[in-house]
Amino acid sequence: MNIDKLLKQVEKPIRYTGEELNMCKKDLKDIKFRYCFCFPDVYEIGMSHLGLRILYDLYNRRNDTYCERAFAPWVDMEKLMRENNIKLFSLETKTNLNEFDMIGFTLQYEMSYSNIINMLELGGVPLLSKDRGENDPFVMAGGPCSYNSEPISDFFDFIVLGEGEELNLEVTDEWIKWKEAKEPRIKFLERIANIEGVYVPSFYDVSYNEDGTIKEIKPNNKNAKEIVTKRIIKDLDKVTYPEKWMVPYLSVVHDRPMLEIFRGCIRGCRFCQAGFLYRPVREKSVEVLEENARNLIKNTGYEELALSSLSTSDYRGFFKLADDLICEFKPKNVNLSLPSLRIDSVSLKLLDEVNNVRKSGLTFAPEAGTQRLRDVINKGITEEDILKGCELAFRSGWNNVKLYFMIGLPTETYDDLQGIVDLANKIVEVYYSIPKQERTKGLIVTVSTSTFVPKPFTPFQWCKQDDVETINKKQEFLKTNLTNRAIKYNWHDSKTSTLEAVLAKGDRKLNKVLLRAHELGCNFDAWGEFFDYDKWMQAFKDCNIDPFFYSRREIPLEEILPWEHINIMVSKEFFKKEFNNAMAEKVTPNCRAKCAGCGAAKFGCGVCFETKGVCV
Amino acid sequence: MIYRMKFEKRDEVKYIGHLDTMRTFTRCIKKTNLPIKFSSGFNPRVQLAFALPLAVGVTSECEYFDLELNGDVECQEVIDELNKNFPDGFKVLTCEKLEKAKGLMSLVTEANYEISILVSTNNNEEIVAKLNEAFNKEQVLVTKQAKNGKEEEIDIKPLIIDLQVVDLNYNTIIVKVHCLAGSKNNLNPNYVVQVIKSVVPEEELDDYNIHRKKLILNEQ
Repeated sequence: MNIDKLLKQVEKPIRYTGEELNMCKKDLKDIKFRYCFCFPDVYEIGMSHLGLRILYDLYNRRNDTYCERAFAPWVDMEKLMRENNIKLFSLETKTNLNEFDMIGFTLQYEMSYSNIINMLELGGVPLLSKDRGENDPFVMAGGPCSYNSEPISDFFDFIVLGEGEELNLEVTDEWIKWKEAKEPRIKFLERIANIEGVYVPSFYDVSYNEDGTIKEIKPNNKNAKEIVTKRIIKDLDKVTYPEKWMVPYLSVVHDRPMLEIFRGCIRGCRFCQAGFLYRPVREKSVEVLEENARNLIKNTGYEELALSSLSTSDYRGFFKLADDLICEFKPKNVNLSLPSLRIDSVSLKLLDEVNNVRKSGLTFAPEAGTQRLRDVINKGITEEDILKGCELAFRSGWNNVKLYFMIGLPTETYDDLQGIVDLANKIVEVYYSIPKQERTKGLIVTVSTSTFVPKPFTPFQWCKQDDVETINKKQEFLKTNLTNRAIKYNWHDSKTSTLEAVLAKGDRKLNKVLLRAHELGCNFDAWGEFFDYDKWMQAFKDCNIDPFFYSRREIPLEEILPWEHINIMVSKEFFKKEFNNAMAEKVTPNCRAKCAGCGAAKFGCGVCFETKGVCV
Repeated sequence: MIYRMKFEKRDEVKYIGHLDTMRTFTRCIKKTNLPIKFSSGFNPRVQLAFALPLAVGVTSECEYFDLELNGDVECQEVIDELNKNFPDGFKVLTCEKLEKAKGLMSLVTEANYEISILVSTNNNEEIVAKLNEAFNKEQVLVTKQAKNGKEEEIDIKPLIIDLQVVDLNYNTIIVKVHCLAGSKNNLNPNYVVQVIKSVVPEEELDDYNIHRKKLILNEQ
């Protein structure tokens, strides 16, 4: 195939050419298993995703396996590919998707679902699992949205739940055995249905009540487990890390190697799905991280290294690690990037040291405007913390503060929105209370609001979402009341969040809607310029499904949820307790302060055992 | 000490633009064991200077960059270290030590390009004749997209020193251009392609490739 001719006509042709530094090259004749990691968005976004880097490296360390990559082609390239009958291909060997043994998608955000379907079509892979035959690849998925993959389950042969470092290799081993045994397609799915963490949607029947709620979810194959439990890595020091980090030619979103310092989060914010999905918190040791860091820089020549986790300050070895890394890398002109840091005097001093040139913005995420609502969502940050942090920051030369809030949170009233306005104004006051010569000119306070999306596996999974009109009114309120010249207000498109909630909490009935939306041309929904809300509503209408049955209904605590058969080792009882605590405005301490008994301790590792001296 | 490197940029990396190439080289050079000289200042950088930027999509066997190192290193060692760390598609061919170096860019005077055209016709001769006719005119006019979005017509004939159309049979025709290059008068080979496209009917032009064959440096 001659893609060269197409590449001359598209924007950013290096999205499709591969050949980056540290790209894996293999001789196909040694390979038993060919896998393609598919990221359902453009190259620049996909290459910024840590999961891709980890799995690419993991697979390619095996001599019998070759893992390649494919991304969603941008609209210009897609058009040319369709016109010239060129199928979606991998970057490494330019092999069409339908020629792989297995292809895997990562479900990072609901708004990428339409891209997945489009990529399957472009790759020549039958869209629905039931239509795939003996010569088609197996199509799998993993990632955060796969814990409720029901809305898109018809498109996948199987789903992997949890961390992949062991799980994906077990699936690979089984595939090789299956291939050698020359068994029919179904047998492979039966083989892996036994592996903990593998979910084969077609092995489960879902029946419904007359009102559309779920009556029962039941396995229909003897190999399928009643309940599928996620997998985790107990000791992160013992698994591989992608030290041979690929270096994209194109400036990607996060153009620096990431050093993952721990998984999970001790905080327990009640709206945050990641905070529950990745429990329990498991840290890597400072020694292993320093070795990883050294090799990452040696193998890439990058000028910056970023620590990566859900909350950097919660890493117990943080100051030692940061000091050591600065000591080692500063002389080599390598900067350290420290995202997601709690702002206090010590961390500001550290930021001063790593950020010796420009003082870019500092970010706070109060998420809600009043202490009452922050207690509801269990966001353990007080107004005093924020104002103090800002004052320290202003005094050390920062003049650009970003504040993230959510609107539409459960129990929210206009008092809480007024709280956002008040907090922003107080920050401006703090700035002006500092003598002129002790602060940097030109204050900018950016207030950003996103819209609350209730997610599965959170205490708010039963809550309803505001409708578009209500959200727009609330945004309008903030627009009118955030009047100070130093304050800038950004808000998220309410219609995108509306659809996100439906796809997050939906059940299997949504599969036909997704297919219909694809037929209507929905693609790149995460990109404002392509998202077409009306087309989606048309798709729901054509399928005779009310989207808001899923997102705008208070779900009774006893109702069977679409993800009832999936177990993340945080119990439903715990979520109910947390839901009641939220309604009672009661705070739950973080995992290190006091165990809340969520259930993750059953894994037998991580933060749950820190005080007992195990697994540290 | 300054080291002047000649390198090639092959097919697999030809879509990497000039700035992306520079960034990649900086990183690859930092991976080597060479005694790199960094610029002074807040943001120390690898001291790296390129000759004439290569347009996106063009391959080359004669690219140049100057690299400053602390101390004296054998040329062969510099070549080996760089090639060990460069991605496939880039390869250092030669290296030369210079006590002092004038800006590389200012030395460029002329260039040779080979534009190979793949046609889907068995009538190569007719196309060759048409091409000769187009390039032998008094003026060779092309459309230039100015920065403000306006189009203007320019004559590239004064920039062409010599041009030959060679019929290689097997559906391949090569246009060899010897032209002015550098910061003063420079012929962008894509203008030659524009002329080719105006002569060869779209349905007969399968593909084309531009290759920079030679860059002539004026080293007084």
